[in-house]
Amino acid sequence: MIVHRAWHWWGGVLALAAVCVLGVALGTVRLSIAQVLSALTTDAAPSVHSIIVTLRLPRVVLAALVGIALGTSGATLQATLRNPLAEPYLLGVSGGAAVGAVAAMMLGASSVFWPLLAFTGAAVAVVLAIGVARGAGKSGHTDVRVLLMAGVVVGAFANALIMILLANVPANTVRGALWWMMGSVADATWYTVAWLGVYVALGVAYLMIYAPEIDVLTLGEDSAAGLGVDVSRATRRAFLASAMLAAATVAAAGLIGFVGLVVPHMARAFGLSRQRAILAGCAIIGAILVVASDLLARVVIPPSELPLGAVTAVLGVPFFLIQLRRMR
Amino acid sequence: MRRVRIAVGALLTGLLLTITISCTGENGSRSPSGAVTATPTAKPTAKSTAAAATQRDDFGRPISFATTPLRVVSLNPTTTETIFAIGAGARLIGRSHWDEWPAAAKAVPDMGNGIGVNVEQLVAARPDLVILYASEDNRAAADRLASAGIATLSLKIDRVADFNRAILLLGRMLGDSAQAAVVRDSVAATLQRVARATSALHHPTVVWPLIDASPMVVGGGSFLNELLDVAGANNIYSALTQPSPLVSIEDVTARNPDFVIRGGEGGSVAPLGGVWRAVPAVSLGRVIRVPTTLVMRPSVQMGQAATTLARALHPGIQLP
Amino acid sequence: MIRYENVTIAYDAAQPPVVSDVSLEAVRGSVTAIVGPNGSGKSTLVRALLGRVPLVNGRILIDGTDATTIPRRELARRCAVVTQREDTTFSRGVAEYIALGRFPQQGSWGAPASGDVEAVNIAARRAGVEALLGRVTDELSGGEWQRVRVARALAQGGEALVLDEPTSFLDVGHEMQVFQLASALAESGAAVLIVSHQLNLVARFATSMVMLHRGAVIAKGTPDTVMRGELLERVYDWPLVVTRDPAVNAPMLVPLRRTT
Repeated sequence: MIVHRAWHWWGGVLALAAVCVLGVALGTVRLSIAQVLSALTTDAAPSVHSIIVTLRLPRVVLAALVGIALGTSGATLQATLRNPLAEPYLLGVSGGAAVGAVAAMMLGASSVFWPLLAFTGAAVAVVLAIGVARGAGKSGHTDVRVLLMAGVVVGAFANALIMILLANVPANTVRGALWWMMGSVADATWYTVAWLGVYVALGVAYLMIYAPEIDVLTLGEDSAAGLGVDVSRATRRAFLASAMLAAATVAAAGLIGFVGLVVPHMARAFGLSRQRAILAGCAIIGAILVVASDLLARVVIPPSELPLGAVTAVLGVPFFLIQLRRMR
Repeated sequence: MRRVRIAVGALLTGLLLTITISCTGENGSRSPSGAVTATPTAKPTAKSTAAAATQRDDFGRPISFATTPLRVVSLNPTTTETIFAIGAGARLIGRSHWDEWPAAAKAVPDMGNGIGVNVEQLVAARPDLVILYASEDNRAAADRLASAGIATLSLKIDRVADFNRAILLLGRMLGDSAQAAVVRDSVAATLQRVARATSALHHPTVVWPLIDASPMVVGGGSFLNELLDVAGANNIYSALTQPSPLVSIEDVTARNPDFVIRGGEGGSVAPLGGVWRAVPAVSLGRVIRVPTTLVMRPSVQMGQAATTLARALHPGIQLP
Repeated sequence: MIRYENVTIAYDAAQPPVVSDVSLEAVRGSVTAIVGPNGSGKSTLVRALLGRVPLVNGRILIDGTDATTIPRRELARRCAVVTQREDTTFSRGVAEYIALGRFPQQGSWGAPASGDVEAVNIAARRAGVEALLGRVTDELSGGEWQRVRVARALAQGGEALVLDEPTSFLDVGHEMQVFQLASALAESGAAVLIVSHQLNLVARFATSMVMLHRGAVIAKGTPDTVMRGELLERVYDWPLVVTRDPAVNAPMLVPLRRTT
């Protein structure tokens, strides 16, 4: 475990800035540094300005927001569930969101509405999972294990729904649905960035405020109760905030797996142990991971793009292997 | 540590292989009618020598002209249109779900998707001939129909030349070669007229997205590209040989086409939003809409399609 | 300080109660022990104090006030519980761990105040783990870990300390350390309530004992009154004798072999 130092934070912020600059400067179309800089003023060629300001900048910002949201969501769930394998899509969020998006595509809705329907689907899935868990468990406390199983059930059901929906649609729609599910920030607009930004800011602020409670929750439910935490309420708060952050990212960018799972481990590997510090660390590391992944996704096999979720997994797996080795 | 190295090495190798395969594989090769196909291979050059060699369809099955089929199922909009155009529409006992033109076609029973056909339903209808679109997805169905004793004709009509061949073939099979030739010549004449009228004009650069997200556009290998040539436009992606290649929106923006065309099979008519606003033509409102039912495939309405497109691209053009 | 009055607890209305009509009191300056065989309801009483199981009947009073009327954080400030098991998935520094005990004192924002650092040091000193402050929790031995947990409980600042089976998996030396610590804390004025199955150690260190049998109090009083041969044989269903250890002047249970 590396002991964390103050300069680690500065290093992280610098790394994030560097990777964002690269994300704007590099892409399918080769632009010189002069062109990139000129795009930020008004006297650039309209297509260069378009590429930088309408295409690349919103994409990089969206990728950063997605990384922040998934990283903090994953960190919260891992701490609350006291399980290092927890990740943001636990409560059927990914399945529900996918159902919403596919339904939108089938109804022929304009792509402006897909995020809204995806988010609705995710929210419905979470509410369903919590409802199923409450009905199945003992009165009063929401048993965490029952909740996890309910999430698995809801997710499986959602997958079945998607397969049924896609069974009899034109090939175009199937392709669109698959592309959406593979996750991408390619369709980022400033509008999306704006609403996701507000969402992430509120969500992360909420998690930050209640972080000390989560620190205590990691001791176990009885011990946490002994320290004055309302365990059911705190757990529910953590789940809902994490799930909503995850749902918002899925609505904005499709399914991007692995980030929420791996980033908290990276933060802990830097020696962070207090939940507030971990959240901050996950925000920075998550943003770096997704922005870097998006950059790679774009430049490896132009003009095609690799699916973003695949690149994040590829970047995350070696880290996981190193962690495993350290645990031996 | 050694074991970890092996594991990482294996993962990286697997990753490189996957990326290589995905590059060389079917990079979005789609014909305008929406089927996933391999890039078109050479067609049997049987159009000239009608008599001597056995003609084969696009699945390689031999075509028999022995008897004239009276009960025909056409699972492809192009062939349905063509059959009506040559006057044999009364013989159709089934069509595909997507066949919308002419109006009389809607009265013919709908027999499914056209790709992934329901063989049982077809056999129950007792047709003399089933016309399929020759995509790989239909090969198994063609085999099953053949083993049930039903004659099939599988055609891949993706280009103007394919249409010319197909209409003559259908005319001969359905017993009215003369009418088929008349229709073909009429369509060809219209195309020539339009091409001549636009040849002297300035050809604006265009891009024609088929799928907004990704995005997938009309490429050099597509019938729609042929249409653009006739109508006097310069497709910025005509150099790409695939019919529907994937391109990057950045590339489209950088090439800055004069117009963006919307419509046609697979293309949406919803307003272009999102990242497409980066393309200057879109933000300037230079979007040409073409009617969806008209500009679909190389078919009987090709002439009108070319005319419509030419008028949209060159306002004020004189076309007889 | 902590008083259970006629407490009855049942997990399920259909099942017989796990704890029935238990009354006991832990006062300041003394060590009170709850003993009994497995399943006699000892830990359930602790969980009831934590508010994790509802009371069917009776109440738990803290300094005369019903515990259910006291806000959770307030309760945590007055009364600290060291549970039988704690989740150790995530490791942290020992000082940071003890500082978690300051949570009930902190406001919603939760920023550590200067008083917290002082409180952590004092708690560490009282529990005898000052030397461990720079270490990490997953590097500690069993006995060190238990004492660090007690330090965390002490950091909560209250005068009542409840220890649920604090010496499971500990060897003789570490067991003694924990009981000696509990005794010292009681001497300094705390009300210490220990749940334990270690009858001999309890007999030496506890001021009063409460023996549970099948959820009910079967004996209550000083160790000498409670540790009686025929009572213990009945409760534990095993042949034994109770002698008096000359070195420590306390009753001592010696189990015998069963022949039939």
